Amino acid sequence: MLANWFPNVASIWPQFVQSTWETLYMTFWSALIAGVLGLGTGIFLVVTQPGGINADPSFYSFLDKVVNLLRSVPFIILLAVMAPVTKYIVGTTVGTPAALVPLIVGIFPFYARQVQNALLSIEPSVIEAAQAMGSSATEIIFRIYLRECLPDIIRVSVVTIISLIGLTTMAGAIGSGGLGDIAISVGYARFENDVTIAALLVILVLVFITQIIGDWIARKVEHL
Amino acid sequence: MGVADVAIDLQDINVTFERKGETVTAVNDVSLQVKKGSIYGIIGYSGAGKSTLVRVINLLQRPSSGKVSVSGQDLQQLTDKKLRGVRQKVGMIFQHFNLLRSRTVLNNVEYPLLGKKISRKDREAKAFELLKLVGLAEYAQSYPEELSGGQKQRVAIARALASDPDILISDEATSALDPQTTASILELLKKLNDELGLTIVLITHEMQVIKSICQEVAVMADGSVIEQGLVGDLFTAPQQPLTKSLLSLRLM
Ligand SMILES: Nc1ncnc2c1ncn2[C@@H]1O[C@H](COP(=O)(O)OP(=O)(O)OP(=O)(O)O)[C@@H](O)[C@H]1O
Ligand SMILES: [Mg+2]
Repeated sequence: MLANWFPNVASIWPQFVQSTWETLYMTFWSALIAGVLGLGTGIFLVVTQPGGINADPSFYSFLDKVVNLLRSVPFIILLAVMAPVTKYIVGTTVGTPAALVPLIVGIFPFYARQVQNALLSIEPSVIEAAQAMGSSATEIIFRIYLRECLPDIIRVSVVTIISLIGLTTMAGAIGSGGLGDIAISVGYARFENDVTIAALLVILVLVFITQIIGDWIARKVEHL
Repeated sequence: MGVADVAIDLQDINVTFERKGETVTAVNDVSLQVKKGSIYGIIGYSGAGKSTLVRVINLLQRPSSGKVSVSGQDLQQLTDKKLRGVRQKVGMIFQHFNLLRSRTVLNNVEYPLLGKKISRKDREAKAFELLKLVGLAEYAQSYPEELSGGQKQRVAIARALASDPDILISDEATSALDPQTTASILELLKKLNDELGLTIVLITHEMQVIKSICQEVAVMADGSVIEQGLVGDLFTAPQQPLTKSLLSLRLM
């Protein structure tokens, strides 16, 4: 069947499978690292904002500006701009590991903002009640903010991972490997449309699976 | 009144806020003492500065000037860590309950004991006893959303009691409740005052609440305490026009 419908995919099958793995690799590692960075940044934004539990207006305003700045750089330009940094960190600018650097820088501010919004959904009076009970800032972060907002955090994580899958395909432009790369460098360049469509289908399946797993976890942690 | 009998001593408290370059005086030169084991009412119209004043008691709001002592300790001299210790001995309940929606009723009551040197089993047992005390033992495994307003406030009271406070501050805790529920919550507070010797500071804008359980009262307007004393005296011989108007509201 594969040979009938997707003749060119069949002929480069090992390369196609490899590309799928590369996409999974880029998505997983950049999600993990950007997840930690974004969660931390989101928490810092909420904690240091004026009136926050550890208010530090100048730090807040600095962090806020950095996040805004990074978010306003178009990803395709970020890929190019980051090249020297990537070279410094990874030692090369091409290949799948090298793509992680721009992917992380591209996605973590987006995630940080969404985490920030999720955490801000808590009533300030609930935070004040915790302070009145003698909770420290760290206790409030872990026992109130993260705990009360967990379903929202999971939801924004899903949205972020789905955006990230999209970004990994764009990283194909700098030779990252992955499904975006193969769709362009093989499907598009050699007029082998079936390769492009197969790559698209795999991406759709990845997005779909992410959504299903995310919804399932969100419902699990939401007791109602 | 000896020093040992004073639960809360506020001296010359001022609180000002900067708002759009203007200085707003929320609390203006207020001094008051709350006796151990008494129920002290603070009444006044919206914006009078009642919430700001009681937030000074546990330094959720640091005063611009003045001295705050609780159970003989000068709070402004304490380190953050010590201050958090004092806060655990000053329970607080609010108009909107402020329960944690992700936790069961039992877990909410356990909250103040998290991170304390107490086993999980003892902690749960203690929380359960408190739920019994407020009459909600059968709701231990429910979530706050599943409760009525009056029930939520009972959970909040149980939670406030978990760290064995000496003082309970109630900021309009009955304002969102109907008259019957209000009466039952006030009855519960009175019982806690009688049985545990809990000192209670109670904010309200209803004279009826003051009359039913308070011994002393302060009337606030525009950040100042304009009249204070025994509740009986205030009812028989109010001095200020505002006090008279608050008293007459009760008749409407
Ligand atoms: N964080 C703040 N920043 C600026 N102004 C504030 C702040 N908190 C309180 N105020 C002002 O201080 C005054 C007193 O407010 P407060 O909340 O203490 O009144 P209240 O007597 O508790 O009123 P209510 O009955 O409506 O709860 C108000 O004018 C309010 O706008
Ligand atoms: Mg108030």
